[in-house]
Amino acid sequence: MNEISWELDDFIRKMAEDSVQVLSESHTDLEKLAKSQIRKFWDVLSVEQNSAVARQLAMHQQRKAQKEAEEYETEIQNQRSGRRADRDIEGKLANAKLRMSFWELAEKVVNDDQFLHKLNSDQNLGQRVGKGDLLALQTLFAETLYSEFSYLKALGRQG
Amino acid sequence: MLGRDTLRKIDQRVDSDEFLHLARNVADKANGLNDTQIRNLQNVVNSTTRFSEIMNYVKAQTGRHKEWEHLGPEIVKSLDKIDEYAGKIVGAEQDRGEVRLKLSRLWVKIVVAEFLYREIARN
Repeated sequence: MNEISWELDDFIRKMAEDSVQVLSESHTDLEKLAKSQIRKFWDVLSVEQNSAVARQLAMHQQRKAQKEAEEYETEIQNQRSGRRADRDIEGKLANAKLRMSFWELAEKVVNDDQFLHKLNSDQNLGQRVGKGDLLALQTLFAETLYSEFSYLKALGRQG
Repeated sequence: MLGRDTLRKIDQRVDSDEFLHLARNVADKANGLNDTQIRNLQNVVNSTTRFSEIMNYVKAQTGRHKEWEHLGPEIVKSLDKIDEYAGKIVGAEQDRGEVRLKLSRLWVKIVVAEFLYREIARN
């Protein structure tokens, strides 16, 4: 694929917008997800140009966030049992869970078989996507997701 | 290659008051930009083959620069409308992508003209 068709372009854009929507339904402070997290995902695809490397990163970041979430949950339990804990630990826990959700989403996109199946099983797309096309589409998704989050954060600042 | 009928419909749309207002509303909100910034927007619109590239550029700029705070959403509104116009002109046919880009290029041309005119009027 030399050029992404307008149909695929729209499909990827809608997928990124829907992903933001899905994340916002589970996480009330979605705009608190650091742009640097999404940038990391976008960069690994555009620089390494290797979805397997991106997948390793996504799985590693997911495990890291999960470990942090478990530690914060323990802190909160300790707080409830009378021991001192960080006041904003609830916020840190929410952020760790948000990062887990984001990297889970990212991992699905760079799982080539899963992403390819998603693209080719969508009836609205009307065209076949080959394995050779995947990296460009995965990178486009990451870029679009980054823009959507940047925009969401900017709108959030407006209040 | 767009057919004559499609080109005629594009011209009719661009000539409409509604289309002009889309561009003017954006120019109104662009007073925090300088010439280079507005030309950069025009360059992105004119050089891309993907509508999402325009959207991504605008949304990323909105996230990055304070002067895009009100401008960004206005441009997004315009682009959504342009997408809608393209749908009315050719529906879901193959030409839709091309029509949408053509409308975007004609739209940004008006935006830049209106912006520069406002600059002169201010000075």
